[in-house]
Formats: sequence, structure tokens, C-alpha cells
Amino acid sequence: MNSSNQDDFDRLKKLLVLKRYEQPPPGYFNRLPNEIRARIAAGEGQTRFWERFIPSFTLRPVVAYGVGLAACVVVAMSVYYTSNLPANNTAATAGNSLTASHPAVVSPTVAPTAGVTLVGQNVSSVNSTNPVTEQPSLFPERVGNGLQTAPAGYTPHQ
Amino acid sequence: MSLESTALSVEETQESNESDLSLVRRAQEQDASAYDELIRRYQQRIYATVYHMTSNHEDANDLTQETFIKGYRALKGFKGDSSFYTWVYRIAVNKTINFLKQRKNKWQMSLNDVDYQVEHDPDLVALVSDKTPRRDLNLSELQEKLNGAMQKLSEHHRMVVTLHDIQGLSHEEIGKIMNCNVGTVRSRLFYARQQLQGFLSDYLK
Repeated sequence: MNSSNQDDFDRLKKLLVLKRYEQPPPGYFNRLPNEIRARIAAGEGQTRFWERFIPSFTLRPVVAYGVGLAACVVVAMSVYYTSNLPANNTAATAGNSLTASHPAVVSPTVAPTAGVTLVGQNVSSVNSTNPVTEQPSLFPERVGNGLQTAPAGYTPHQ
Repeated sequence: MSLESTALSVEETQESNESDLSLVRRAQEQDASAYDELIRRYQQRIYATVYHMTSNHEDANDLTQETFIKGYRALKGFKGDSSFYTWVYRIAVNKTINFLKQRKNKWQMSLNDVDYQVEHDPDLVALVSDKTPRRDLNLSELQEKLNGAMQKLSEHHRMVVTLHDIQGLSHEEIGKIMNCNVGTVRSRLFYARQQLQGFLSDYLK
């Protein structure tokens, strides 16, 4: 550094001393602690956990982009795994939703309590949990040997 | 605010360390008077730092209050690894830099009056009277130019000039407060002074 530069630095330092003489209004520092105490007593400065993250988003866009990207990845993965569920799971889900939306469609184990009597059929097989068990019709129908199934108390017209 | 109270000597820091720590412990146990004492002890330095950074009294007032409020809320987490002074200064510096980044160009100066004691500072008197015989007028003009030049610096360069050249902190103390090494402090200071020289060349020749 040459002497001219050093001289300028010295003058600059002297000039900066002027800043030390800038004073707030008289009595300011007597009032300040009271104002701070009042704001603390009013509960100021108590932040919720999510409020701490907002300034980081404002000041560091990388953080905001990162969180946004992570959210997109989570959504994309959810969509992907939902659409690639195993077929039987999908069927089971669909069956459950059908039963829920149409109470008339009842499972075999529930059928006897719904007041349906099976005519000419082994009742024990109705209690099977085997999903391939044929479900009885709620309405009279003809079968090959002439037997009929009918709801309890059903009297066909003569 | 006297120059003596603004410039912080190392001895002063070391002397006040123990009593600061004891005040902090009392404040951590909900002793409001202890925290009051800590505010009274450091309010002038914190205010001055924020004021020199913002060149605006209202902003400096808000940020100083927010610094001490945040300090109070975070006091439970203060372990005493650094001095309370360094710790609270760090809060003020971070708050101020964040504020300035958000403020960007939407600001105007709101300068404090220059204390009449400036008339007794031989260096400044010599500097001003060199330029013009109308000292009063030119002091306020000089004040405005100086603040304008400071505001042209980046936040980190302005902070280093404020802490070192105006407040009298050492490079080591600034490094702790700004969480950077001494070399970075020195290089920022050098660059900031060069820039200021350019902005204020009319007043330095």
C-alpha cells in the first residue's frame, strides 16, 4: 500500500468517527428497557414451530425449492404406488366399496340373519369364508331338479 | 452515547463476563430485573450497530427491541459457551442483515442528530474546516454523504466497517460475532474501505 492510500485510509477513519456522534433523541435509552419489557410481557416473540421456517424460505430460495421438490416427489410416489397396487388388493377394495354402497348385497355369512332361508341347500356351506362360494339369489328361481329357493315367509301365488 | 462506551475494549469484556453470566443465570430463572440489567448494559452498543447499518432511527429502534425480545425467548438455550455480549450481538447482526435483505431499496434515511461534542473532536474539526468555513452546514451534509456511502456497501462489508471502524471491536471479536475467520474480516474491511474511499473521494482529498 503506498503512502497516498494510507493517507486516504487515515482520513476515512477520521471521517467515520463522525458516525459515533450521531445520537438518538434525548432520554431514548431510559425508555427503551421499559418498552422491551412491555413487549415481552405482552407475549411477543413467542413463535410457533412453523413460523421459524418462513424467514428461511424468504431469504434462502434454495430451501423453498428443496421443500417444494420434496413435496412433489412425495405426491408423485403416492400416485405411482396407488396406481400399481396388486390386482387382488384392488378387487378386494372394490368389493368392499360395493358392499358399503349397496347394503342389499350382503356377504354369505350375513345372509341368514337377513331373513333369507335357503331351500334345498346345505346351510353349513353358507358360512364358508371361501370367496368362490356361490351366493344365493334373494329371489325365487328354478333349479334343475325343480327345487325352489324362496325368502322366509314367501308364499307363491296359487 | 460517549465514545468510551461505544468502543469495547477486551479488558471490559473480560471484566463483565462473570457478572454477565450471573445475570444470565438469574434471568434464566425468570428474574426480570436481571434481564433488565443486561438490556441496560448493552442497549447502546446494539442500537448503535443497528443504526449504523440501517441509517434509520425507527428501524434501529424496532430491531434493537426485537433483538432483546428474541434474546429473552432464547435465553434458556444459552449455555455460556460464548459471552452473553457476543451472543446477543450475533442475534442483532443476523436480525439486521435479514432485515436489510428484505428491505432492499425500499428505505429512506432517518438520521439522528450529531452530538454537539463533535465540535471538540480535533480530527473531525480539522477535516471539516479544511473543506469549508461553514462548519454546521457541512457537518450535516457530510453526515448525509457518509451514510449514503455506507448504504452503498453490501451488508457484510457495512457490518465489518461498523463493528471495527465505528464501534472499535477487534478483528477476533468481529469474527466470533459474524461467524467467520479473522482473514475474512480483514479482507472485507480492506475491500469496504476501498469502496468507501471511492464514494467519498471528494471529502478525502
